[in-house]
Amino acid sequence: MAKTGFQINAGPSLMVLAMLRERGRYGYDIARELEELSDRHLSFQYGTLYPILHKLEKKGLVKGVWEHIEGERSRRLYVLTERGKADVERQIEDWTKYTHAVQRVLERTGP
Amino acid sequence: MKRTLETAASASEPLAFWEPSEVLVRYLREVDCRLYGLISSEQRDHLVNETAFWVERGMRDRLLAGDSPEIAAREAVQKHGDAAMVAEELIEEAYENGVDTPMLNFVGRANGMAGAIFAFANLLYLILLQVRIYLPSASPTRLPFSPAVVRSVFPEPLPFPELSWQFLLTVGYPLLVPFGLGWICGRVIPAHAARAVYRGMIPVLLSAFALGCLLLPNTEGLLYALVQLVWWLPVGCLTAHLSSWFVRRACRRQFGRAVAATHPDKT
Repeated sequence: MAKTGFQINAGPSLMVLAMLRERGRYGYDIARELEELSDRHLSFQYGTLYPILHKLEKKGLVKGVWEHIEGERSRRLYVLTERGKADVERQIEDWTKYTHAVQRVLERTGP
Repeated sequence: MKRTLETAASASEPLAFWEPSEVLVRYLREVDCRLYGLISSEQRDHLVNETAFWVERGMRDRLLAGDSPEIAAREAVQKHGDAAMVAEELIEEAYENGVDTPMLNFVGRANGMAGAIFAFANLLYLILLQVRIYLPSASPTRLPFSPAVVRSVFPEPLPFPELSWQFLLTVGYPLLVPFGLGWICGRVIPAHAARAVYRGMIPVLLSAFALGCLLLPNTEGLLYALVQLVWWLPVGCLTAHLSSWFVRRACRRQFGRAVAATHPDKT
Protein backbone atom coordinates (compact mmCIF):
# COMPACT_ATOMS: atom_id res chain seq x y z
CA MET A 1 0.00 0.00 0.00
CA ALA A 2 2.83 2.34 0.76
CA LYS A 3 4.26 1.75 -2.72
CA THR A 4 1.09 2.86 -4.47
CA GLY A 5 0.06 5.44 -1.89
CA PHE A 6 -3.34 3.79 -1.91
CA GLN A 7 -5.63 4.02 1.08
CA ILE A 8 -7.93 1.07 1.60
CA ASN A 9 -10.83 3.29 2.76
CA ALA A 10 -10.64 5.34 -0.43
CA GLY A 11 -12.97 2.94 -2.26
CA PRO A 12 -16.24 4.91 -1.94
CA SER A 13 -14.58 8.20 -2.91
CA LEU A 14 -12.92 6.56 -5.87
CA MET A 15 -16.22 5.13 -7.09
CA VAL A 16 -17.85 8.53 -6.83
CA LEU A 17 -14.99 10.18 -8.72
CA ALA A 18 -15.12 7.46 -11.37
CA MET A 19 -18.85 8.03 -11.80
CA LEU A 20 -18.19 11.68 -12.55
CA ARG A 21 -15.49 11.03 -15.17
CA GLU A 22 -17.97 10.78 -18.00
CA ARG A 23 -20.20 13.73 -17.08
CA GLY A 24 -21.59 15.70 -14.17
CA ARG A 25 -24.26 13.99 -12.11
CA TYR A 26 -26.73 14.73 -9.36
CA GLY A 27 -26.15 13.10 -6.00
CA TYR A 28 -29.21 10.91 -6.34
CA ASP A 29 -28.08 9.67 -9.75
CA ILE A 30 -24.62 8.84 -8.42
CA ALA A 31 -26.15 6.76 -5.63
CA ARG A 32 -28.61 4.99 -7.90
CA GLU A 33 -26.09 4.22 -10.62
CA LEU A 34 -23.53 2.97 -8.11
CA GLU A 35 -26.15 0.64 -6.76
CA GLU A 36 -27.06 -0.62 -10.22
CA LEU A 37 -23.46 -0.98 -11.41
CA SER A 38 -22.57 -2.99 -8.32
CA ASP A 39 -25.50 -5.35 -8.92
CA ARG A 40 -27.08 -3.92 -5.77
CA HIS A 41 -24.23 -5.12 -3.56
CA LEU A 42 -23.46 -1.53 -2.62
CA SER A 43 -26.01 0.90 -1.34
CA PHE A 44 -25.40 4.61 -0.88
CA GLN A 45 -27.86 6.74 0.99
CA TYR A 46 -27.88 10.49 1.12
CA GLY A 47 -26.36 10.48 4.59
CA THR A 48 -23.47 8.36 3.30
CA LEU A 49 -22.90 10.00 -0.04
CA TYR A 50 -23.22 13.62 1.06
CA PRO A 51 -20.13 13.54 3.34
CA ILE A 52 -18.09 11.87 0.57
CA LEU A 53 -19.09 14.51 -1.96
CA HIS A 54 -18.44 17.25 0.54
CA LYS A 55 -14.95 15.94 1.30
CA LEU A 56 -14.15 15.68 -2.39
CA GLU A 57 -15.43 19.21 -2.86
CA LYS A 58 -13.26 20.41 -0.01
CA LYS A 59 -10.23 18.75 -1.56
CA GLY A 60 -10.98 20.54 -4.81
CA LEU A 61 -11.56 17.34 -6.77
CA VAL A 62 -15.28 17.90 -7.32
CA LYS A 63 -17.32 21.02 -7.81
CA GLY A 64 -20.97 21.24 -6.82
CA VAL A 65 -23.11 23.66 -8.78
CA TRP A 66 -26.66 24.57 -7.81
CA GLU A 67 -29.08 24.33 -10.69
CA HIS A 68 -32.16 26.49 -10.42
CA ILE A 69 -34.58 25.64 -13.20
CA GLU A 70 -37.93 27.34 -13.20
CA GLY A 71 -40.72 25.05 -12.15
CA GLU A 72 -38.32 22.38 -10.94
CA ARG A 73 -36.72 21.55 -7.66
CA SER A 74 -33.29 23.14 -7.15
CA ARG A 75 -30.61 20.48 -7.28
CA ARG A 76 -26.87 20.25 -7.05
CA LEU A 77 -24.90 19.01 -9.99
CA TYR A 78 -21.49 17.56 -9.22
CA VAL A 79 -18.69 17.77 -11.79
CA LEU A 80 -15.03 16.81 -11.71
CA THR A 81 -12.55 19.67 -11.57
CA GLU A 82 -9.34 19.59 -13.63
CA ARG A 83 -7.51 18.45 -10.51
CA GLY A 84 -10.15 15.80 -9.94
CA LYS A 85 -9.75 14.50 -13.48
CA ALA A 86 -6.01 14.03 -12.98
CA ASP A 87 -6.47 12.60 -9.51
CA VAL A 88 -9.06 10.01 -10.47
CA GLU A 89 -6.77 8.51 -13.12
CA ARG A 90 -3.97 8.18 -10.60
CA GLN A 91 -6.31 6.69 -8.00
CA ILE A 92 -7.68 4.15 -10.47
CA GLU A 93 -4.14 3.13 -11.33
CA ASP A 94 -3.30 2.73 -7.63
CA TRP A 95 -6.48 0.79 -7.04
CA THR A 96 -5.76 -1.57 -9.93
CA LYS A 97 -2.25 -2.22 -8.66
CA TYR A 98 -3.59 -2.81 -5.17
CA THR A 99 -6.34 -5.23 -6.17
CA HIS A 100 -3.95 -7.16 -8.44
CA ALA A 101 -1.47 -7.43 -5.58
CA VAL A 102 -4.17 -8.71 -3.20
CA GLN A 103 -5.39 -11.13 -5.84
CA ARG A 104 -1.88 -12.50 -6.35
CA VAL A 105 -1.45 -13.01 -2.61
CA LEU A 106 -4.80 -14.79 -2.36
CA GLU A 107 -3.97 -17.07 -5.30
CA ARG A 108 -0.57 -17.98 -3.93
CA THR A 109 -1.80 -18.71 -0.41
CA GLY A 110 -4.69 -20.95 -1.50
CA PRO A 111 -4.92 -24.63 -0.46
CA MET B 1 -50.62 24.42 -12.48
CA LYS B 2 -49.27 21.79 -10.17
CA ARG B 3 -49.12 18.28 -11.53
CA THR B 4 -49.54 15.16 -9.52
CA LEU B 5 -46.88 12.48 -9.37
CA GLU B 6 -49.14 10.07 -11.17
CA THR B 7 -49.50 12.27 -14.22
CA ALA B 8 -45.89 13.45 -14.27
CA ALA B 9 -44.20 10.11 -13.84
CA SER B 10 -43.31 9.36 -17.39
CA ALA B 11 -39.70 8.54 -18.17
CA SER B 12 -39.01 11.53 -20.38
CA GLU B 13 -40.59 14.15 -18.22
CA PRO B 14 -38.30 16.30 -16.08
CA LEU B 15 -38.60 16.29 -12.34
CA ALA B 16 -40.79 19.19 -11.35
CA PHE B 17 -42.68 20.59 -8.43
CA TRP B 18 -45.24 17.85 -8.24
CA GLU B 19 -48.05 17.93 -5.82
CA PRO B 20 -46.17 16.32 -2.99
CA SER B 21 -47.37 13.27 -1.13
CA GLU B 22 -48.24 13.73 2.53
CA VAL B 23 -45.57 11.16 3.46
CA LEU B 24 -42.86 13.17 1.69
CA VAL B 25 -44.04 16.43 3.16
CA ARG B 26 -43.97 14.98 6.67
CA TYR B 27 -40.54 13.50 6.08
CA LEU B 28 -39.06 16.72 4.73
CA ARG B 29 -40.59 18.73 7.52
CA GLU B 30 -39.07 16.30 10.02
CA VAL B 31 -35.61 16.69 8.46
CA ASP B 32 -36.05 20.46 8.32
CA CYS B 33 -37.18 20.53 11.94
CA ARG B 34 -34.15 18.55 13.07
CA LEU B 35 -31.77 20.87 11.23
CA TYR B 36 -33.43 24.03 12.50
CA GLY B 37 -31.26 26.16 14.77
CA LEU B 38 -28.26 23.85 14.51
CA ILE B 39 -26.90 25.01 11.15
CA SER B 40 -27.21 28.25 9.23
CA SER B 41 -30.55 28.84 7.55
CA GLU B 42 -28.89 29.06 4.13
CA GLN B 43 -27.25 25.67 4.60
CA ARG B 44 -30.50 24.29 5.93
CA ASP B 45 -32.40 25.46 2.86
CA HIS B 46 -29.83 23.83 0.59
CA LEU B 47 -29.83 20.56 2.47
CA VAL B 48 -33.60 20.32 2.68
CA ASN B 49 -33.84 21.13 -1.02
CA GLU B 50 -31.31 18.45 -1.85
CA THR B 51 -33.10 15.97 0.41
CA ALA B 52 -36.38 16.82 -1.30
CA PHE B 53 -34.77 16.24 -4.68
CA TRP B 54 -33.54 12.82 -3.57
CA VAL B 55 -36.80 11.57 -2.14
CA GLU B 56 -38.84 12.93 -5.03
CA ARG B 57 -36.52 11.22 -7.49
CA GLY B 58 -36.74 8.05 -5.45
CA MET B 59 -40.49 8.29 -5.47
CA ARG B 60 -40.58 8.88 -9.20
CA ASP B 61 -38.42 5.80 -9.79
CA ARG B 62 -40.78 3.71 -7.69
CA LEU B 63 -43.77 5.08 -9.60
CA LEU B 64 -42.10 4.21 -12.88
CA ALA B 65 -41.55 0.71 -11.50
CA GLY B 66 -45.31 0.47 -11.06
CA ASP B 67 -45.85 1.20 -7.38
CA SER B 68 -48.85 3.16 -6.19
CA PRO B 69 -48.11 6.76 -5.08
CA GLU B 70 -48.59 5.85 -1.43
CA ILE B 71 -46.21 2.87 -1.56
CA ALA B 72 -43.74 4.77 -3.77
CA ALA B 73 -43.57 7.61 -1.25
CA ARG B 74 -43.08 5.22 1.66
CA GLU B 75 -40.38 3.27 -0.18
CA ALA B 76 -38.56 6.46 -1.18
CA VAL B 77 -38.59 7.74 2.37
CA GLN B 78 -37.55 4.39 3.80
CA LYS B 79 -34.68 4.12 1.35
CA HIS B 80 -33.52 7.62 2.12
CA GLY B 81 -33.19 6.73 5.77
CA ASP B 82 -34.59 7.73 9.11
CA ALA B 83 -35.09 11.52 9.25
CA ALA B 84 -33.33 11.82 12.60
CA MET B 85 -30.28 9.91 11.41
CA VAL B 86 -30.10 11.75 8.10
CA ALA B 87 -30.34 15.09 9.91
CA GLU B 88 -27.65 14.01 12.37
CA GLU B 89 -25.28 13.15 9.52
CA LEU B 90 -25.98 16.44 7.80
CA ILE B 91 -25.48 18.48 10.96
CA GLU B 92 -22.25 16.68 11.75
CA GLU B 93 -20.96 17.20 8.24
CA ALA B 94 -21.89 20.89 8.26
CA TYR B 95 -20.26 21.38 11.65
CA GLU B 96 -17.08 19.50 10.77
CA ASN B 97 -16.70 21.45 7.55
CA GLY B 98 -17.32 24.76 9.25
CA VAL B 99 -13.60 25.30 9.79
CA ASP B 100 -10.67 24.50 7.60
CA THR B 101 -7.46 24.07 9.55
CA PRO B 102 -5.14 21.09 9.05
CA MET B 103 -5.19 20.25 12.78
CA LEU B 104 -8.99 20.23 13.08
CA ASN B 105 -9.34 18.43 9.76
CA PHE B 106 -7.14 15.72 11.20
CA VAL B 107 -8.74 15.24 14.61
CA GLY B 108 -12.24 16.43 13.73
CA ARG B 109 -13.73 19.71 14.89
CA ALA B 110 -16.07 18.14 17.45
CA ASN B 111 -13.37 15.90 18.91
CA GLY B 112 -10.94 18.81 19.01
CA MET B 113 -13.50 21.03 20.72
CA ALA B 114 -14.38 18.42 23.38
CA GLY B 115 -10.71 17.58 23.92
CA ALA B 116 -9.83 21.27 24.31
CA ILE B 117 -12.64 21.84 26.84
CA PHE B 118 -11.58 18.87 28.97
CA ALA B 119 -7.88 19.68 28.63
CA PHE B 120 -8.55 23.25 29.76
CA ALA B 121 -10.42 21.91 32.81
CA ASN B 122 -7.44 19.68 33.52
CA LEU B 123 -5.08 22.62 33.31
CA LEU B 124 -7.31 24.60 35.64
CA TYR B 125 -7.21 21.76 38.12
CA LEU B 126 -3.42 21.69 38.03
CA ILE B 127 -3.49 25.40 38.88
CA LEU B 128 -5.91 24.70 41.74
CA LEU B 129 -3.54 22.07 43.03
CA GLN B 130 -0.83 24.71 43.18
CA VAL B 131 -3.12 26.71 45.43
CA ARG B 132 -3.55 23.64 47.58
CA ILE B 133 0.21 23.11 47.75
CA TYR B 134 1.34 26.69 48.25
CA LEU B 135 -1.60 27.92 50.30
CA PRO B 136 -2.29 25.05 52.70
CA SER B 137 -4.99 25.24 55.32
CA ALA B 138 -3.51 26.79 58.46
CA SER B 139 -6.22 25.51 60.78
CA PRO B 140 -5.73 22.16 62.53
CA THR B 141 -7.66 19.20 61.17
CA ARG B 142 -10.75 18.69 63.31
CA LEU B 143 -12.74 15.56 62.70
CA PRO B 144 -15.10 13.72 65.03
CA PHE B 145 -13.13 10.50 64.45
CA SER B 146 -9.54 9.50 64.99
CA PRO B 147 -7.23 9.45 61.95
CA ALA B 148 -7.14 5.64 62.11
CA VAL B 149 -10.93 5.41 61.88
CA VAL B 150 -11.02 7.96 59.07
CA ARG B 151 -8.33 6.07 57.19
CA SER B 152 -10.28 2.83 57.47
CA VAL B 153 -13.09 4.54 55.56
CA PHE B 154 -10.89 6.61 53.21
CA PRO B 155 -7.85 4.38 52.60
CA GLU B 156 -4.72 5.51 50.77
CA PRO B 157 -4.35 6.92 48.16
CA LEU B 158 -7.61 8.80 48.83
CA PRO B 159 -6.88 12.21 50.34
CA PHE B 160 -7.30 12.60 54.06
CA PRO B 161 -10.52 14.59 54.57
CA GLU B 162 -10.35 18.08 56.02
CA LEU B 163 -12.93 20.74 56.59
CA SER B 164 -11.15 23.53 54.72
CA TRP B 165 -12.05 25.41 51.57
CA GLN B 166 -8.81 24.25 49.96
CA PHE B 167 -9.73 20.61 50.50
CA LEU B 168 -13.33 21.06 49.38
CA LEU B 169 -12.17 22.90 46.27
CA THR B 170 -9.57 20.35 45.23
CA VAL B 171 -11.87 17.38 45.88
CA GLY B 172 -15.13 18.99 44.82
CA TYR B 173 -13.75 20.28 41.53
CA PRO B 174 -12.93 16.88 39.95
CA LEU B 175 -16.23 15.48 41.20
CA LEU B 176 -18.45 18.25 39.87
CA VAL B 177 -16.64 19.56 36.83
CA PRO B 178 -17.53 16.76 34.36
CA PHE B 179 -21.20 17.73 34.67
CA GLY B 180 -20.42 21.27 33.58
CA LEU B 181 -17.99 20.24 30.87
CA GLY B 182 -20.36 17.67 29.40
CA TRP B 183 -23.13 20.25 29.46
CA ILE B 184 -20.99 22.77 27.61
CA CYS B 185 -19.94 20.15 25.04
CA GLY B 186 -23.57 19.19 24.42
CA ARG B 187 -24.38 22.82 23.71
CA VAL B 188 -21.46 23.69 21.46
CA ILE B 189 -21.21 20.42 19.54
CA PRO B 190 -24.42 19.99 17.55
CA ALA B 191 -24.06 16.32 16.55
CA HIS B 192 -22.77 13.22 18.33
CA ALA B 193 -21.66 15.26 21.34
CA ALA B 194 -21.21 12.21 23.60
CA ARG B 195 -19.03 10.51 21.01
CA ALA B 196 -16.95 13.67 20.64
CA VAL B 197 -16.45 13.80 24.42
CA TYR B 198 -15.36 10.17 24.42
CA ARG B 199 -12.90 10.72 21.58
CA GLY B 200 -11.71 14.07 22.85
CA MET B 201 -11.03 12.64 26.29
CA ILE B 202 -8.79 9.83 25.07
CA PRO B 203 -5.66 12.01 24.70
CA VAL B 204 -6.54 13.82 27.94
CA LEU B 205 -6.74 10.48 29.76
CA LEU B 206 -3.53 9.20 28.22
CA SER B 207 -1.67 12.32 29.28
CA ALA B 208 -3.17 12.07 32.79
CA PHE B 209 -1.99 8.47 33.12
CA ALA B 210 1.43 9.37 31.73
CA LEU B 211 1.72 12.21 34.24
CA GLY B 212 0.50 9.88 37.01
CA CYS B 213 3.22 7.37 36.14
CA LEU B 214 5.85 10.11 36.19
CA LEU B 215 4.77 11.10 39.71
CA LEU B 216 5.22 7.58 41.12
CA PRO B 217 5.83 6.52 43.87
CA ASN B 218 3.31 9.27 44.78
CA THR B 219 0.01 7.74 43.71
CA GLU B 220 -2.12 10.90 43.67
CA GLY B 221 -1.43 11.45 39.98
CA LEU B 222 -2.64 8.01 39.04
CA LEU B 223 -5.63 8.39 41.32
CA TYR B 224 -6.57 11.58 39.49
CA ALA B 225 -6.18 9.79 36.15
CA LEU B 226 -8.43 7.00 37.43
CA VAL B 227 -11.03 9.54 38.56
CA GLN B 228 -11.02 10.92 35.04
CA LEU B 229 -11.41 7.48 33.55
CA VAL B 230 -14.21 6.18 35.76
CA TRP B 231 -15.95 9.48 36.57
CA TRP B 232 -15.18 12.25 34.07
CA LEU B 233 -15.51 10.06 31.01
CA PRO B 234 -18.93 8.47 31.69
CA VAL B 235 -20.41 11.55 33.37
CA GLY B 236 -19.05 13.82 30.64
CA CYS B 237 -20.50 11.63 27.87
CA LEU B 238 -23.85 11.25 29.57
CA THR B 239 -24.20 14.94 30.36
CA ALA B 240 -23.15 15.90 26.84
CA HIS B 241 -25.79 13.57 25.45
CA LEU B 242 -28.48 15.00 27.74
CA SER B 243 -27.45 18.58 27.07
CA SER B 244 -27.48 17.95 23.32
CA TRP B 245 -30.92 16.38 23.64
CA PHE B 246 -32.24 19.46 25.44
CA VAL B 247 -30.76 21.74 22.79
CA ARG B 248 -32.44 19.75 20.04
CA ARG B 249 -35.73 19.74 21.84
CA ALA B 250 -35.55 23.51 22.24
CA CYS B 251 -34.72 23.89 18.53
CA ARG B 252 -37.63 21.64 17.52
CA ARG B 253 -40.00 23.66 19.68
CA GLN B 254 -38.66 26.86 18.17
CA PHE B 255 -39.22 25.37 14.72
CA GLY B 256 -42.80 24.49 15.66
CA ARG B 257 -43.39 28.06 16.81
CA ALA B 258 -41.80 29.45 13.63
CA VAL B 259 -44.01 27.23 11.46
CA ALA B 260 -47.07 28.14 13.50
CA ALA B 261 -46.31 31.83 13.06
CA THR B 262 -45.81 31.63 9.29
CA HIS B 263 -48.18 28.78 8.31
CA PRO B 264 -50.89 28.40 10.97
CA ASP B 265 -52.60 25.71 8.85
CA LYS B 266 -49.55 23.39 8.99
CA THR B 267 -49.36 23.02 12.74
